[in-house]
Amino acid sequence: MAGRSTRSINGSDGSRTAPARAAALADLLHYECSTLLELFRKKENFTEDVADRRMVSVPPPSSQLDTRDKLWRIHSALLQCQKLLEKAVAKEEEELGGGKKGEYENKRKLVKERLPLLILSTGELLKAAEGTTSLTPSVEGLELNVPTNLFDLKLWVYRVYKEVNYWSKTATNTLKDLPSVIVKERARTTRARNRRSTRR
Amino acid sequence: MVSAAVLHLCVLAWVASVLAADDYHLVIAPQSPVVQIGSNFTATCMIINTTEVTADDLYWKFSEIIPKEHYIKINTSALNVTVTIRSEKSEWLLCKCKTVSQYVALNEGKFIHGILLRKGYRPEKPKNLSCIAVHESEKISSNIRCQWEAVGNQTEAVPTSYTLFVRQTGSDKVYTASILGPVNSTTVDMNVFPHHMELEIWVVAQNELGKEESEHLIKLANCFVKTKPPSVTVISEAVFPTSLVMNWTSSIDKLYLETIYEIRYCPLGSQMWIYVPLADTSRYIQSFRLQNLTPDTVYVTQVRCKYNNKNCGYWSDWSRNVTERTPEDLPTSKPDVWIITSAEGINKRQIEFICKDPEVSNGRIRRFNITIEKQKYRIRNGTWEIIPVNRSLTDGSSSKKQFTPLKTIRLDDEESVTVYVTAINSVGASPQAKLIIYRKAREPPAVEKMEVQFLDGQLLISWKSPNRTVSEYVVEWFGDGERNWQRENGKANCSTIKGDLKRFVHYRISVYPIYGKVVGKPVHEQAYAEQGVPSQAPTVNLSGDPGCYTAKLEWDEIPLIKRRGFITNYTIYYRSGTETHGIIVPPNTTSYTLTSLSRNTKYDIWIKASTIRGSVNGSNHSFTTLKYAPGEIEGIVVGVSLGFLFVVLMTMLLCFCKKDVIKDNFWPQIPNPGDSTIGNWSPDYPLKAEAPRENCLSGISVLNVDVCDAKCVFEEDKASLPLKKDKYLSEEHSSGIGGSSCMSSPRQSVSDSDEGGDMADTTASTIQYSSVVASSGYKGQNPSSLPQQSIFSRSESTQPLLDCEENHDTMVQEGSRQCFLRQPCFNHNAGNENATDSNDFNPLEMEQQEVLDFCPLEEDTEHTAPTDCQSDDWIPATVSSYMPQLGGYRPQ
Repeated sequence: MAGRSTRSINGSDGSRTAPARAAALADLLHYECSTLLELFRKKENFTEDVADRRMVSVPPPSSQLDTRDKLWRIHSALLQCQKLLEKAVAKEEEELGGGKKGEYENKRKLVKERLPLLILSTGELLKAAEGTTSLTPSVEGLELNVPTNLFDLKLWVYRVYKEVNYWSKTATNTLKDLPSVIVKERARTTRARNRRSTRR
Repeated sequence: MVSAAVLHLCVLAWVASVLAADDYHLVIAPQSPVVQIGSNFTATCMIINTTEVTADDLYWKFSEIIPKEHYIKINTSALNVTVTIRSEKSEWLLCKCKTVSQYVALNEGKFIHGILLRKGYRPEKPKNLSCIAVHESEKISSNIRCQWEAVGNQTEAVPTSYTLFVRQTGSDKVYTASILGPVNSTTVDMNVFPHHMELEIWVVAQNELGKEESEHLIKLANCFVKTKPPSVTVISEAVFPTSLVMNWTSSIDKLYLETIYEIRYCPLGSQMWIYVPLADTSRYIQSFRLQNLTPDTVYVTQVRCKYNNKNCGYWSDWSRNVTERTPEDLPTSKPDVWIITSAEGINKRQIEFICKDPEVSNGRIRRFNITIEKQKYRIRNGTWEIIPVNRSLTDGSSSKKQFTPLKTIRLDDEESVTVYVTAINSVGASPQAKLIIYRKAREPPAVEKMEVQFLDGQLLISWKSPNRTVSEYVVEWFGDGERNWQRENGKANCSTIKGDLKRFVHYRISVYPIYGKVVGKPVHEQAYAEQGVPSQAPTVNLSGDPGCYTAKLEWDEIPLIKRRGFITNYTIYYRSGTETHGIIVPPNTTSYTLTSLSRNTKYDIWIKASTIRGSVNGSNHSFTTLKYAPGEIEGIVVGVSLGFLFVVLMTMLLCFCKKDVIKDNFWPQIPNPGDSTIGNWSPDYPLKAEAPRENCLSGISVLNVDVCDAKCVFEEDKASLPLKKDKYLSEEHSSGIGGSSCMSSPRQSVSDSDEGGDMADTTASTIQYSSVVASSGYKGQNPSSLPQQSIFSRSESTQPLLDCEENHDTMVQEGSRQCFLRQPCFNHNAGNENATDSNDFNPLEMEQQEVLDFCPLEEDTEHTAPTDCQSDDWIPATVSSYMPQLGGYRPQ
């Protein structure tokens, strides 16, 4: 297909690198998730410190981690967040009913739709840095057992939102710290390595 | 190719098996084909279930029979045809068999088969794919709308559908939307707009003849965003009179979309936008300071934004207009001071100083300061005089078109004056303007050969410069109560009026040379920016009364405001009945005398005023010419009177000259009775004689006289009654013979004075009367016809004579005429004045008859009845009363 192989040169945003765009996306997700949290807190009259326990399980941050590891850590955490969020949204709709679509529901949908985009972006970055896409998120230890008690359910949902908020913020910081040149070089190096291995 | 042929044969076999069941003998493959217009199409017709015919008996028919050169015989039972598809319309392709046997003829329906060719075009690759996501409420719409340019044609039989594909780079998820041509746009819903993600978008055109895919559009999703314009506010700061600060809020959060901006601004009322260079604003900013602006000027500002990417993105619409006025600053130019001069008495002039705001006033002028220096004394007229300017803020934009009256002075023609003016706004004063007016005798020369032309919708004033160096010219125009002026460089010799001149308004254009600061003599011209038809024509009126043949017309000039152009002429129309006449008169005429009119005729008159643009008629006025001119009747009367008088005079003159002839004709000479033989009568002869008395009694004339006399008496002066009574008595005594001698010529009377003086002596106190008494009526003049019995008697009465009798000498002539006048006394009963017609008078007859009329009472009535005395009735009586003395005189 000739059309498929043709790419528009105009499409590339030369002014912003992929990590920067991913960072902007993470920032946007964090902003939207913060809004969602605020809406949920107002909706449920929760205080900020009502839940402060991590749900996502990833290796601890370390200065020793290289770019790929940092990306993998973020990517993994976001994948877990996605699982948790989908579960929370499904459970909330199941338990509390769909009801009228208000600002909270719209924002929740927005976050739910935005999160996969960030995962896609970090995945692309990771793919570019590692040259492989064989990354399977680990869901082990993930609290997918949704409480049946209404309060516990809401608290759990709240914790999920906070977890998404936290990891979007962490992703923003991590992606912003990524040296774009290095990523490009590594990506180029990876592509070259792949081409060489293909020839063999 | 091989596989295609095999497939073709397989299809043919299958179709044949299907059709075999229906006992058809011909079958075409392929069935229901879609063919590409412009390509060659091959079909195969196969004979089945019969040996009656062979492939040689077959033929193909499109709209007409296809020539055999297009056939290819595959075998005895199959025939191919290849045709080029040219038209777009679907057609039937038929395979038919010649009638080669009776069976074929009887089963014709089994030896025909056809297929419908649906024709179309192969789709081509769509071009110019573009997509946009619009800003809805507070977020970017998740709907991405794309449009493309369809290439190539398509037919109704083979339509092309388009499918839009949107995929996020790195994802396998593809959003699609399809649309059937010829529509070339559609929308894809992506649930949420993928900010910061890269999108790959393409469109596929597809129909039954093929599929083509456009180039893939790979861009960041934000490149497709068109945001709403930002909300803008503008602030002015008093300390920066030449700048404004713009602040705005982006319509979308930076987290979604980082935007850059573009700014434009212009003074209020201007259509020329000034753009701030993009280099200054192509970054994410939310305020900007506009600089190098004009103080005290209202500016309109606008901002727009787009995604911060130099290679892509859509600019938003411009924000709404935001206006702000820059702060005021010191006026930096001089006020434009000027004068209005008018004569004021003898050797004096009135000068009004007027002033426009400085060209660069940098704010609203609050007041003017003026001081006047009379150069005769070389002293300034006191301190600065403050002239406040009462002008509202809303007038600011038009302040330059207005002027402010400053001061009016009266100046001798021998005086010179210098005026100094400054303009003050809220910040401070302007530089000083100066103007010098010389004494009239020393006014510098004017320009020469000034002309005003209307060119290209503008008034062009040209002039020839004076011989002296002119620093500048002032071109002034005044019309419709408005005055304005403009200044031109001293080297200019023409100028176009920049002010807004009104159409159809009369302007007086003046050019003043300015020598240094000294105002020179002006030159004036009249002009119209554009001429039109007068809005009003003069009303024509009569001046005085019309004559028989002339009428003087008057009219007033059209007011300047209603002329709307230079009057080229007036046309006076006058109409009587259906005939209309027109007379063209010059524009400076205000009266005209119509001549060649008809008398006693009604005329309608009106006047038409014309400019180069057209004419307008005035109202009608009617008048009627006179039947007679003044004095004409008087002239006729006088003429006739004079003529009559002339005739009378001529008649009188003729009478005077021909009196003898007239006398002879009308008063023929009566023979003097004194000359007759009867004149030897004696006065002493006794009056009373029996014979006369008897004769008298026997005559009827006496009674007739009495009747007449009685009647006359009553009608005459009764004062004389006693006398008359005496007379009557005496007449009685005289037996009616006392007819007045005045009635007859004294010479005819026996007592005529021709008796001589002796007679007068003897009859000093008595007058003897003679009387001729006819014995009967008319006796005729033939003495022989009847015996004459008349009596001539002489009166012895002593009654004094009447005046007429006393002056008988003078009365001779009159009495000779009046004789006839007295006759009515005899014929009063006739009472007919017509009877006195002189035409009835027959002097010849009288002459022949020689009748002398005697009337005894005539002496009493001679003055009271001076009427005509000739009548037909009279004649017999006269004849009877006078008889020629044929019978001789018989003494009494």
